Amino acid sequence: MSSGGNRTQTAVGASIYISPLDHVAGDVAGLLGNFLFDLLGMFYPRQICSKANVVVIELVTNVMEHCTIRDGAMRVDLKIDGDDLLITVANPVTPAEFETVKERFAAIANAEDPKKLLADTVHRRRGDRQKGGLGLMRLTAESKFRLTCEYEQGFLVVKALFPMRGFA
Amino acid sequence: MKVLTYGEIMDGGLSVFHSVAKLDDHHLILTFEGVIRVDNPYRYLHTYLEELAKVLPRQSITETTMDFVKMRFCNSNGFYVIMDIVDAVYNLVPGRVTVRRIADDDWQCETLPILLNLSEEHIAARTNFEDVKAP
Repeated sequence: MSSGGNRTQTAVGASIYISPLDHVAGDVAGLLGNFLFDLLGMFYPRQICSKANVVVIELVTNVMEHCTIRDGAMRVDLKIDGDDLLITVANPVTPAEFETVKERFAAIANAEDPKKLLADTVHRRRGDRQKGGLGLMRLTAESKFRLTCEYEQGFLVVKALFPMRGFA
Repeated sequence: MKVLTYGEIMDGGLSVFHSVAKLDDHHLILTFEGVIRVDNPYRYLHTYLEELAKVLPRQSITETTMDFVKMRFCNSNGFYVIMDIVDAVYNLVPGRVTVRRIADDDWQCETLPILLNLSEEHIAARTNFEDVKAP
């Protein structure tokens, strides 16, 4: 095992593709999140690995709970290089579904205080235990990710970026 | 140390989360261990919540420790059930509450205070944190 160099500058990439989604029968979000947590643990501090774990679990859980095109595919990409941690999760959606998701992302991106948005939403929705975006909100409020979404050839592509300069 | 009650989440035949309420003299200790990731944690923990509501008022408790150090992850599906458990403590038990958490863990330092409802002055006044290193 090499002891030279700065491990927190190690470039790591992973790409996972599952199709059709309907065949998933277990906790795929947890499996992927924990796999990436363990893999990154070889190079990066626990706090960075935890961020990758949380974002993969929340975004993949969103896909598994809300994707209506169950004969389609899900793709999860991770890229980390010491400067940025970037997780991309893509799944098929209808144009109407994308518009709903886009509005939700805009509301989160435009929030002046993401933590207050999360707190207000949790307390407001607690009565009927509605979720509706809590996972995305926690990624910005708690894990400090920058979230974007795009529509590409019938796929919702969610990108979560954490700039790591000065962190790891 | 007397165990008052406990709750557990099973996933794929394995125990993935458990919370235990224990009494050490007049000190209530509530531990949270594992991960909450299942889509409906109430399915597993509603009996625990009912038991807490029954047993806590019957005890003579002067202080409480809620220990989250071994709770490695809680996804957004678990937010409300954690709120219900901690609410049972704040509503049914008097005295100071010490929350043990991991010092550099995002979810325990950023989101957990929201779930504890620390924006309520009377809750914040009763609560202090003990930050510990990751085990």
